[in-house]
Amino acid sequence: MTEPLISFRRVHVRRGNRLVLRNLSFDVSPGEHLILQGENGIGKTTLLKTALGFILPEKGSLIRKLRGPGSLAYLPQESLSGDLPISVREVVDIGLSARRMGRAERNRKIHDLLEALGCASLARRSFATLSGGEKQRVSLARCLAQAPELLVLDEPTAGLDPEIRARFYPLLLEMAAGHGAAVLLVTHDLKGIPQTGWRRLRLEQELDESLVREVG
Amino acid sequence: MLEYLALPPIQRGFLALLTAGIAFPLIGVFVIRLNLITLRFMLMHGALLGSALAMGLQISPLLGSLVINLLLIFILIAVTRRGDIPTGYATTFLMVVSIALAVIVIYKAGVPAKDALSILWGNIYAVRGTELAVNSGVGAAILLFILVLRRRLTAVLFNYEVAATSGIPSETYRRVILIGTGVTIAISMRLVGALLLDSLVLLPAVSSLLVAGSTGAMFLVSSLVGLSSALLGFILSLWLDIPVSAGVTLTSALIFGIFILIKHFRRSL
Repeated sequence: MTEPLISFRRVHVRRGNRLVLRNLSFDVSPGEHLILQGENGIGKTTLLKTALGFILPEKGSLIRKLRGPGSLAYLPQESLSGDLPISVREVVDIGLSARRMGRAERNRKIHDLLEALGCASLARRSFATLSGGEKQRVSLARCLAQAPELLVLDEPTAGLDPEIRARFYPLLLEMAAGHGAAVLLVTHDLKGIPQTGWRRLRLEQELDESLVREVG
Repeated sequence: MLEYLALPPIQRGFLALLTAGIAFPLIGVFVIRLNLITLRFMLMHGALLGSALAMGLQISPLLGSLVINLLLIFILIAVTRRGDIPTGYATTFLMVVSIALAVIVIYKAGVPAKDALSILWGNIYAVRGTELAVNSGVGAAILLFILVLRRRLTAVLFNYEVAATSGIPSETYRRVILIGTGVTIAISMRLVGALLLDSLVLLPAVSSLLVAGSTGAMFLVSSLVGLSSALLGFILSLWLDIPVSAGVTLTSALIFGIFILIKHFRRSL
């Protein structure tokens, strides 16, 4: 049996005075595509940030069996680049910044990823000037540049119109499968997400326990 | 006017200003992009305390400012390490404590009011040989830091969490940036003083953000604007017989104004 990439074992996570996750046990296995749903404030983002290593559990164990740095790629809810003058090419290069490779190989890799995601013509554009849908495709290229074992996405299409959402998710699944990456998608809005190709989970709180249940 | 450049204090001041003009705006980029404005206030007050202590002890004011600013940075890193105290709260507290201590030191050590005021105005012609060496060394270190690590620093500037998950030790870089900011502000206080420090550190960085289309261009433009402001500001100060800090600020502000016009016309086209 394949070992999980990430295992939560009876994990407690506190944010300020509030115990957000209690006794949570949950696995993410290689290559699987998970959607984690749940009500607002239930702890989805806390779970995700704990998986990413940004928040340390108060109790319990979090086991990560990953190749090394850069094995987890993160696509946040909104791009926080603000008015940073950064080109599309430089954004994708962030995914390669911890990998050792020559300039020619790097340029080819960036071009190939942008082309695969239909963004090759945007390479020299300023990231700040892109539309929401273009930004998310470029951010996906950045994540894939890391050759990750697990792609973690936090409400990646929040605020985007339905047409862009309907195009983004099939592309995400195709690209993740092509790169052999598992996907953990956290969202409360399932509009535009294809029915097939996902294992659907729901985060719930029950008395003194946080549970991840399979749905549908 | 050129005969002034034959005088060693003016030569030292000129060289210190040029080095700072090239390197310090690069730190200004981080101060703005990583929202370290309250940190900058803390460090300005720290440099004031350091200078006051140095005057009381009759040692180099630059040395005093560097020691106090580094101490403040280390306290800040220790206090905010666990993440339960926001950086803004800690910097505000340390800023207030620094200025209170500075006032006590100025009063108790009997630092003359004129000398205390010189801390606010800076004085590039009072830069000593060793201080010029420190200034040049720090400038070279900042340039090297950016040149060697530009791609990784771009990731940190883009998004701290994204950088961390891309395999970049973001926290280590943040600490190096904090230390670099502490040292830069201590030296800038000595050169142009607290009141005009922003013209050398921040204004060139802000100007670059107006016109650059990539992070490479942002670093390059901020450095070029800093160099131009230092060079033209120095010439202007000799020509009009005004303080160097005022000359640098006027030039830096003029370039900023030109860049705003460029951005405005680009939008109109």
